[in-house]
Amino acid sequence: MAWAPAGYINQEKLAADIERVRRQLGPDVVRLRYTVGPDWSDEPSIRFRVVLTDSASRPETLGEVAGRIDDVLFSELRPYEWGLRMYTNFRSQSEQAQRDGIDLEWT
Amino acid sequence: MPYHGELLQQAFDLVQKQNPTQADLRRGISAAYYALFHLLISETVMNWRFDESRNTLARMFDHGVMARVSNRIVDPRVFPYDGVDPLVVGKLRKIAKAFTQLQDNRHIADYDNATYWTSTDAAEEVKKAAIAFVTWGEIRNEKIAQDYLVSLLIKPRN
Repeated sequence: MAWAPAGYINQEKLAADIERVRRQLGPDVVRLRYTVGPDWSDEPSIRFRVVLTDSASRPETLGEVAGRIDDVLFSELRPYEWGLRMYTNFRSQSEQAQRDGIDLEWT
Repeated sequence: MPYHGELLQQAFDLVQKQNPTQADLRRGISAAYYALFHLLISETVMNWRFDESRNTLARMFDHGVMARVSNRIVDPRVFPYDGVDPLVVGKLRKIAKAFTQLQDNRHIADYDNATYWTSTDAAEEVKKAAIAFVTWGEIRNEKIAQDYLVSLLIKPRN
């Protein structure tokens, strides 16, 4: 498997690809942010931070919504071709409103 | 209920509390990871004929090796699974992806005090584990699923 440390990634192309995929995620996604860097095992990775509408974050829909978004991000971006592992984290819009200005990687 | 089932239930109980603390959410995320970890181990060792040796075999599993193997499984360039039902392949890759994601978030939950966890984020991790449990049940008797279990014991060469 190709290993590509974050410093060697074409950041412009990655950003363009992510923007293309973001448009496919639908209205459940209020905000999408990402960082490229080592994961806990020091492997190159991309971490998406996804803010969902409060409606999409309800317990009865969260699993399906988050799973779909994760699947779309993975299948469209193919992070393994970038040499990256992919991670996703989710918050509701209300939760994020309480943390804006505090958790800068989410804003 | 098997141990891995208890861990998954514990994970749900923690993250679904009214007004959960950071400790509840973080321990819930950790429990969710360990639930899937122990499910996969249990499914592997139950294939060993000698019951009294299964616990010893279970201790051979290494978190890092399991994550590296799982990351290879999700890469179609490494495991194209040509000729295999794409639905089954998709389900196996979903489980493998869940494992690596749960492991990394478990590390963050257990050791990174700078990360703030919300109920949604923690609940999603637990649901991811629960979905992996269900998905595994749908493919556990498929050859590629059993091959995956065996590969979890083998350190990748690259």
